[in-house]
Amino acid sequence: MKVASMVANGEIPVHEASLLKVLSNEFRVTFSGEVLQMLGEVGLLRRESPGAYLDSSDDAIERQLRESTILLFGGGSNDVQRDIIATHGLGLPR
Amino acid sequence: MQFSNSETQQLLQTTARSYLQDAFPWERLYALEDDKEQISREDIAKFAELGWMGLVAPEAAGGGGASLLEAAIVIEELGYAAVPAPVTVSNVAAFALQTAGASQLAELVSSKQTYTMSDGVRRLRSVSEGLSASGGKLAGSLPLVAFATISDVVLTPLTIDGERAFAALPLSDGEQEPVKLLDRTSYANVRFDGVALDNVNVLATGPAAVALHEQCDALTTALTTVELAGMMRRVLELTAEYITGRIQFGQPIAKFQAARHRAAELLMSTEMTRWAGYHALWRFQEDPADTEEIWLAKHYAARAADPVYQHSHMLHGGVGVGTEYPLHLLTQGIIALAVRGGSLNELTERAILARGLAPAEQAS
Repeated sequence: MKVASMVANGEIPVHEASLLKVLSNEFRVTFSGEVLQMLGEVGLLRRESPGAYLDSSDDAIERQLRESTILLFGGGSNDVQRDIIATHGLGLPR
Repeated sequence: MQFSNSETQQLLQTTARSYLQDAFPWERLYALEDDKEQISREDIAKFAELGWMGLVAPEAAGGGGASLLEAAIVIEELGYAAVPAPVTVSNVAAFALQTAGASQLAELVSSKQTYTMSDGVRRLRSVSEGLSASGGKLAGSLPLVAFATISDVVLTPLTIDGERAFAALPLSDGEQEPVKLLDRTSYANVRFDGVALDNVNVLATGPAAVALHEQCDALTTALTTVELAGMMRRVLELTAEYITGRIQFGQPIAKFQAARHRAAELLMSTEMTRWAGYHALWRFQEDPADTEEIWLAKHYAARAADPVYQHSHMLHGGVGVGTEYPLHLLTQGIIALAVRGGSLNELTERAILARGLAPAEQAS
C-alpha cells in the first residue's frame, strides 16, 4: 500500500519497491511450502489428477509452489534487490 | 563405528551411478515428465537383475543380503539421478516379508511379483478409515499407492473383524484410479469394496501388526531421507558448476560473497541431511524399535530441503527453470520427497510418541 501511495503521489519508490518484492515473493514460496506440508502427499497431486487441491485452472498447490520459485529472480533477483535496499534504504556504500 | 564407505559400499555406489547415468539420461527423465515414457516393467526387471528390488532380503532367499545402510547407498544414488523408481517401496516390502517370515520373499526378489507399500494411509486419521474387512469381504480404499499401476501386490495395514492386521493384497483385486504427482511418480487410489478376503495374505495381526506397520513407516521415512539427500547433492553439484562457469563483471559469480554463502548453505544442509539420515538408519538397523531419530532426521531434512532448491534457483536465475535444464526436475523431486515419508506435523507427532513425551491417544 505504501509503494502504491508513493507512486500515486508522484514519488519513485526505490528501496521500498525492492523491499516489497523480496518480502512478498519469498513469503509466497514459504506459504506454498507450508500449505503443502499441511496437506501432506495429497498436495503433490498434479492439477489434472482427481483429488488435487484447488484444482481449478492454474491453482493446484504443486503448481503454486513451482511457479513461486520463478519470482525469486524474476523481475530482478532478490539478491540484487537486497543490494538496492542496502544502498538506497540504509545508505551503505556500494 | 565406520564413517567411510567399505569396498562393498563403494562398489554399490559406483555401479548404481554408472547404470543410472546410462539408463536414465536427462532426456529420458524429461520424457517421463512429459508422460511420453513411463517407468516400465522392463525397468523393474533390470533393477531386479541388479539385485536392487530385494537388496535387504537375505541371500538364502535370493536377495542381496545387504544391510540397510548398504541398501541406502543405492537409494541415495536414485535420488542423485532423480529417477522415480520403486526400489524403496520394494525393499521396505522385503523387510516386512522377511520380518513376518513370509514365503513370498522369493517372488519379490526375482521380480516375479512387484511389491509396493500403501504409504498413503499415513494421512488417514486411522487405519480402519482406509481398509477394513468383515464377513470375509473387504471395504474401503487405499489412497495414493506408489507405483500401483506397475506393481502386483501392496502391503498395507487394515482391520479384519475389528482387529489390526498387516497384509499383502493383490492389486489386481482392486479398482485403480491413476493419479499423477509432482515428481512424475505414478500413483493410484485403489478401491477394494466387496473383494473377498481369499487372496489376502495376512502377515501379522494384533500388536505384531501394529509394530510391523510402525517399522515399515519408519524404514520408508529413513530411506526417503537418504534419497532426498542424494537429490540435494545433485542440486549442490549443478549449482557449484553453474556459478563457477557463469561470468559476470569479468569474473565467475562464484567469487561474489553472496553467491558463495548461499552455496555454502547448500553444502551444509545437504551434508547434515545425509548424515542424519544414515545415522538414524543405523540406529534402526541395530534395533527396529528405535525409530525416534528417523522422525527427527526427516523433519530436519524437510526443513533443510526448501532452502536448497530456493538458493539454487536464486543462483541460477532464469536458466534454472528452463525445461531443457535439469534443475526443474530436481526441484520437483525435492519438494515431493520433503513431504513423502511423513509431513512435518506427522513427523513431530511421531517423534513425540517415540520419545515418550505424550501417550498415543493425546498425540494422534
